Amino acid sequence: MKNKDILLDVIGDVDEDLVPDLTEKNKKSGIAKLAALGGVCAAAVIGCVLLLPRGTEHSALPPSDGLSAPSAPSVPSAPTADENAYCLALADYPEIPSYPDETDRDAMMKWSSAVKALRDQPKGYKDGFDTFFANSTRTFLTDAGGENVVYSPLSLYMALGISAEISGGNTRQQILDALCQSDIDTLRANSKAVWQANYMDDGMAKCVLATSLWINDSLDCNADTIASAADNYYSSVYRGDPSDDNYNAAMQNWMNSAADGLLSDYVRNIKMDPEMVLTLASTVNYSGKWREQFDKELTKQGIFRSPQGEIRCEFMNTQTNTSYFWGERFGSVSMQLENNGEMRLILPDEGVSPEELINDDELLAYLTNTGDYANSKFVTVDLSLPKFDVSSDIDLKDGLNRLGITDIFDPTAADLTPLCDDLDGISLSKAEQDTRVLIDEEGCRAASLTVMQYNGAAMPEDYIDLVFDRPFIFEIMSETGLPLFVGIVNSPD
Amino acid sequence: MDDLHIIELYWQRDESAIKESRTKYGGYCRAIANNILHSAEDSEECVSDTWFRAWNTMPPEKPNRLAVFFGRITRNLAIDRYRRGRSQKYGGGQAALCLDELGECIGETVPIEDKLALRELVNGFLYTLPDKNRSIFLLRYWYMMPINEIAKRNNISQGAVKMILRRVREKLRAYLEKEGAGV
Repeated sequence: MKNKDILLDVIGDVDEDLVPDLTEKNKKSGIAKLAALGGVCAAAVIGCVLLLPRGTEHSALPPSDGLSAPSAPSVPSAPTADENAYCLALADYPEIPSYPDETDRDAMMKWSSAVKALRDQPKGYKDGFDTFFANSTRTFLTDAGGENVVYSPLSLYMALGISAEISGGNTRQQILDALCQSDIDTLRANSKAVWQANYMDDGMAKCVLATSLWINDSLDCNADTIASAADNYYSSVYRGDPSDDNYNAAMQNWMNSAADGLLSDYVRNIKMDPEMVLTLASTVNYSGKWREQFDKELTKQGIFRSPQGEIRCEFMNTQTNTSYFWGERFGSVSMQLENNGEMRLILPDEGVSPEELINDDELLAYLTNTGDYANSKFVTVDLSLPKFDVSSDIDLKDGLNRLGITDIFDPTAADLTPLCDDLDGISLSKAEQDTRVLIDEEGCRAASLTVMQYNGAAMPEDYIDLVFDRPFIFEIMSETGLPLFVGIVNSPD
Repeated sequence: MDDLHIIELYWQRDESAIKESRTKYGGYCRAIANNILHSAEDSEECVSDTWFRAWNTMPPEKPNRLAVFFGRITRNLAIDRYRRGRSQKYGGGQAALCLDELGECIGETVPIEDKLALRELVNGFLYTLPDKNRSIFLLRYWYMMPINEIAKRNNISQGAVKMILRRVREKLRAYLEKEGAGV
């Protein structure tokens, strides 16, 4: 070996203190050094299923009228005594210690072991989810029509899982096919594993999939079916008179508590139909802190070019050294959240709409990829991102029909005998998902309520200016690599 | 995930350590490998090998700076690969240019046999440099970063980067000559 080769090796072995840190912020003129603390990112979903006997008027769950101008997140309401009064079974969540002082080695080990125990799930538990995600995302996001739309595949997955649990025959098979699960036992095992692998509530980060079943106490539901649904999906079970205002208030309390109040404007409109057999609420409540917080002093007013015209809004700005990802028709960066996954921000190329891009196979491959996407490069990015608070309510019925789930909506075809074998003509009368995601300098919050009522392509330069001043797509991916939320921002407010 | 936690995962023999490493430092390591090899495919293989090398090293290692720890492994793997393939395959990378430039610092008349002694000399030399010059030198010869990228990172011209590098190389040559190494 030549001396110059040896010198090259020796330079690689110098004291590590000497080596410049590429992951530090550059001290570029006009760019202030960012605070070291993280921020907050939150999201939530609520979904409901209402099963009604044949012939019942479907007026129980009025459409949301408050989400177009959502209020600030309210303080979560604690479960009330009324709520407990109707409770048959309360979901028993695993315990995770509060996130410890990182210098406390023993506490760190205890926290780490608790998280590891939940993350360790049998191989293959996510099988089929990618296909379900791709199919359903295409279905529910394609028709945004220039509006904001947010969808939580994980919330729908859980709600459909319970729907499969309470159905039989071809009704169940259609659901299993849409979820890409071979049989009900596989679905049960996978759903439980997905739940556990994604559960996090340690004071630093939150990702909780909560479900509850609200039963009509005048009807005889199969106790074994209810127990199985509760056990495999960590559901709480309540029983009461759906015409009783207190019972309705108890359900609203549960929803507000499960979504940390993020969807309170929607929840206040939810009321059970007096004739309902069962209402299912499924929520995903997510919040986390940005690993690298945006500096509030750098937030500036700017113009966002929405399909409805130009909008003035606040843009957060930062410079970061990170991986940049790209496809034939989009560019993307990922913002990491402390111990709680990441938010991917995808900017379609000029002239390409998010609705058009969401059908792009390359984009869907990127959205389901967890670390080895080929088109990536470590670069310095000057990122300009509007603060946003977006929400949407999706009527899932047409989309579920397109995914092949039809029988459950048809009173003459729905097989719900596992739930209630002596009542004919029960069907799913309404399936709805309401989701809200908001981000600011500190992070992101999101909530989603699924209500189902049974009634560019070239290698980038080393420096990139990425300005999200036109409609874009985002995805919140969990720590275990499952897409929790995906949405299109056509208007940041 | 913070570095301390990632290191704990390695110590617990938890395979999620590799996923966490890839998530946090995959791009960083890929950039280093690509500087040297200028080949996306080969760089990716180096990065994948980095996690397995780290897996076999922790424990007993407990790095103070995890980024540099991973980066050093990637750098060594990429240089090994470069030497096996040489410039026929990796002509577009920075390794050949860096080697030529470092050739100005050290003679080839007397083969170097004591690498540890040379390391101590280079370490000592780098501590004597002003912070900015040391950083630019190591961006070039540790990360093997292209000149234009160093210039952008430091908000100076490419010409200024080349000038600083030339002066540091001349200083290093004089220092090594004085110490009797590799003349």
